[in-house]
Amino acid sequence: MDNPRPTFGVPQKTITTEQQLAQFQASDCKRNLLGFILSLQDGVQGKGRSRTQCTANCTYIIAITDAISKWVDQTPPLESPQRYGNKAFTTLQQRIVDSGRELIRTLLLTKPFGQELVDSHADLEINTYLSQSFGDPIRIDYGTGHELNFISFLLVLFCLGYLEDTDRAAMIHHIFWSYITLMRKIQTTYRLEPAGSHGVWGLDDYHFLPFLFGASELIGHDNYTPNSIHDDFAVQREANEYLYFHCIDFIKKVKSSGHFGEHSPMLNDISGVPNWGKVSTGLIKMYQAEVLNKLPVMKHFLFGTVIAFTPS
Amino acid sequence: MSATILSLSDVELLDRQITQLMDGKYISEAEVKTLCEKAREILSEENNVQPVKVPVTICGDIHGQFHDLIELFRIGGYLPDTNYLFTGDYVDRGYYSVECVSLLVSLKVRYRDRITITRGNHESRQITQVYGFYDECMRKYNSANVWKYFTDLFDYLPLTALVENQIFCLHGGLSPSLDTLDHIRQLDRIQEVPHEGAMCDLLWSDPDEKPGWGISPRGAGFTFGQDNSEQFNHTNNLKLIARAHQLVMEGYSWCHDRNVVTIFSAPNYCYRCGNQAGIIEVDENLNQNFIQFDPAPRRGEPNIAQRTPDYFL
Repeated sequence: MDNPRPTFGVPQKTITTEQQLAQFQASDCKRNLLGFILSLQDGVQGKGRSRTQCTANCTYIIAITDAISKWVDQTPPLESPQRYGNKAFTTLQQRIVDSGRELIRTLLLTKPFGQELVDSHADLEINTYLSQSFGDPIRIDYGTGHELNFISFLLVLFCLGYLEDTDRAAMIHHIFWSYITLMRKIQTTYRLEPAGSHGVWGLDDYHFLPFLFGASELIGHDNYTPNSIHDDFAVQREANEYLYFHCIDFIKKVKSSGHFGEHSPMLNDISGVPNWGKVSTGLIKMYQAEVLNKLPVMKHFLFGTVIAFTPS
Repeated sequence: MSATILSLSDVELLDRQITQLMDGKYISEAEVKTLCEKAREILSEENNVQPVKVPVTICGDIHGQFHDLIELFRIGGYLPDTNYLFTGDYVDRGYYSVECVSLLVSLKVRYRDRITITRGNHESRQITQVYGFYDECMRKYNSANVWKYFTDLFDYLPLTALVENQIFCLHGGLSPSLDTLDHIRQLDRIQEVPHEGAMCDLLWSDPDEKPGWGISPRGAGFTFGQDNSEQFNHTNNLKLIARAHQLVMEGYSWCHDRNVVTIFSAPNYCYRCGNQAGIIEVDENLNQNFIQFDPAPRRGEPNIAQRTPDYFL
């Protein structure tokens, strides 16, 4: 914030080829994005949700996810026959595009330098990431690319001074939890299809990062090992305390008709890894390879003036 | 000229393999190799628009849901008493793609005139490396050979089928570069599914509420409107286009004023979608009977090996 910066704009898709994707892998932009994710993972190492107080900064951002949650209530699924996903989701998503800027302007004005950011249209750039965080309005689907948009929304707010290092744990335990809770509501209300699903051969139909943050929360836990996901009582008991168990609980509820090792062989394999530290580092390697370095995901990713990348 | 006629020992071997596969046990790598060689001889003689006689039962996506494929046969009837037409997407996403595609190809070799199997967009080297069939072959056979035998065979699958010159069956949909069935007959299909062009469109396109051709949100193929469907059916004297490729809650779904029907045969898709599966029985008089079914009830524990993925070593 020290130097004059270019006016904000609408982030654009930038990566179209494998060559450009390779350039992105070696860029400062990728290092910063991954570094942000790693710092969040580090921020919750060894602690569950109940051990983190919400911060003032985070409260302002949760007001945004709370508002969108109310919009979901006001946008019930259409009762007419739908092929699969419910087209009311398109209406919700358009409302976020149209009205999200107002929520973000309110957030920006909570800081003394906010008026200047509003004047240079930072709300437009920020809302582009926010409005992409809930799924695709045409395909009515959701995947790890949309999840990455929400982290990018937080990263931009971090870069602009609305989130600070001291907010790291609360960003996961309060903001990210509220996002995941909202996503579950949206996924089930509008029956979002898993975007680009690998079926049983992927980690999860929708999400990646709650596993990555969740494994870190459990590092050094006295009672739970990666194998504890097979203990249904433990999973249910801890589903609101630890993200990893929240995700396993959700899968077990949705896929109750199948055997865990059959519908989730990857998670079943990971349950054999000896400790959460190894799960945590393995998921970072996997996230880089399967999300940040995959063209079908990154060709949709939007670059702007804060998360900036220009291929040569 | 017809492909090699089966010897008695071929028939015995195939019957044994089919019994084993119906029981959910996959066959050996060497058996897959021989099976794919025989199937290639048969499929290479088939047409891009393979003619099919009634009665026949038309099916959509399977996606490795083996227990549900067995349920489909239990409900629809077993070969050779019931004739079948499958419209692609046998592999990927489910845990049992190897079992599904091995069974369907074995049935094709055993009863070539009673089962037709056309190509889906997932019967491709590139797609199967992303969506699971490759990983599954590595897991079950510890080598990529079985994946290679099958994906090499996929190049020979017919692109479409035509029931009694009246019901046009394919995986995806229409293409702006194909006005007639003869145009389709002229395509050189023996190749990997291309990224664009007529052959790609047949396997990737979707019907849409908007009229005319549109850009597909899938990034391959097109969307086509009711005007396109009516024109194609009129030009080619067709009654109906039966296609798969999209999840539909009731297992089948009419669109374009009954010029097009979508059929999807994987119930509770990916263990989560809560949809019914559908198949269409077409009788001697070309009457259509739609049958819906739910996932097969499961008994016993599957035999699932646990291994550590490379990322976690």
